[in-house]
Amino acid sequence: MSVTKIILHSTDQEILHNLNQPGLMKRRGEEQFFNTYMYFIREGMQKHSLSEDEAFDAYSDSILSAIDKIIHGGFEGRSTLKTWLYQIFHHKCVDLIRKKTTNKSSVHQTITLADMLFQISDTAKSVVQNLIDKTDWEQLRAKLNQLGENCRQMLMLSAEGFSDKDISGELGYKTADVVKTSRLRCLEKLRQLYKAP
Amino acid sequence: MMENLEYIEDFFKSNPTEDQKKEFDQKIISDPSFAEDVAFYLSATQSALDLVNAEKKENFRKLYNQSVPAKVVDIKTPVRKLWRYVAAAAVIASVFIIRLLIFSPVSVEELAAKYEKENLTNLGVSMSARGDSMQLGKNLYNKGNAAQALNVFESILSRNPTDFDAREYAGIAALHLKQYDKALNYFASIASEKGYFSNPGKFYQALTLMKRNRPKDKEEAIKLLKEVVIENLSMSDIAKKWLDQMK
Repeated sequence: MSVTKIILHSTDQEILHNLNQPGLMKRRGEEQFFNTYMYFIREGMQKHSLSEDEAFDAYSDSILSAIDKIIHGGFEGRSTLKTWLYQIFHHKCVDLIRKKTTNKSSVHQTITLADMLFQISDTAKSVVQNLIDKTDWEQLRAKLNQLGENCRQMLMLSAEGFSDKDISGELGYKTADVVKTSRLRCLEKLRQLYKAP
Repeated sequence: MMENLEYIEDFFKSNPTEDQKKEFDQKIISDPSFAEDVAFYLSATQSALDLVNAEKKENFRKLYNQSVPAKVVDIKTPVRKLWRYVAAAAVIASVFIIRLLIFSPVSVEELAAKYEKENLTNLGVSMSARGDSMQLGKNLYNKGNAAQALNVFESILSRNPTDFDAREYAGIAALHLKQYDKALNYFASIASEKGYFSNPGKFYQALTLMKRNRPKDKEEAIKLLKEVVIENLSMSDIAKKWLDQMK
């Protein structure tokens, strides 16, 4: 089956290139991506009658979602980056309008738990899901913030999808193995903090 | 324990074979302690990611706030069609600035910014014996992490939407982040609460409007400040002083 690919604008190519780089280049790509299509916020206000804050939330959630898809190969280049992002943004705006009555704040979650649980069978999944449902998320986030800065950074970078090799470069560790051992120790420390009365 | 975490991580980060999947499933079903480790690993990863995204959104907010002039003009509109509007806007702006310089010796934005700097940069963590979440939110705010603090306060509100303090602090955090509509909503909701000895809701609504300073915001803020004075609500002394300065 042939797939028609669009020839991307040079800015889009640069954004895509930077997003797939480690460290500072990725951060630069994220900011460049956000800045390039920031005028969507205004369109969200005009076309969906959202407030500025709501349109901002929808747009920044769309950018985070799009970045995640790009990094995991979800952008196939069958449309321009702008058209593709606008589709995501449009859906976010519609979701936001639906949620407005329940006054729920939207927090974007990149790799969802559901994605990770996909790997295990339904029986095992329901066992784990029941345990996850008991998680005190605020407490866990609070304890995560209580870890030393290096620990916190390592766990955050790893959750974001950085490899141990990338993290070693970012945080100045000698090897990826050192990062992996330190990171797992941090995870263990977090568990002890979380379980402590 | 660490061996379990390493095994769990390797499973989720690699592409396990069918045999490895079966073995993993079996361990979850037969070993409650292992199942707890798996649940913890996934919850910790998700929590770390929530923090990543909260920080990214805070950074995006800064980028957005820095680009205020860019937001005013639709970048797709040809410049030649805009020149009349630009010229008219320049004339109106000139008149407005002259009027402001002559008739308004104190800028409402300055008053609001001074108040926020002097009174709302620290939420005083030791004032009450509230739960960890509230203290965490206040700590985050006091350390300059207003976006994360707002997430925490909103998370408290998702469980208990009537929590007065959480609404007040969420409003203050939103005000700090220049999320004015959100701040106004929180302050309006506490302003409508009756029976509190101290209720700064109406005063904070006025403060938010003064800081935002869009057309008609000043008039609306003056109206609210007058109500604060007449009804002798919280901060009525400051409201009276501001009304005198805004004459």
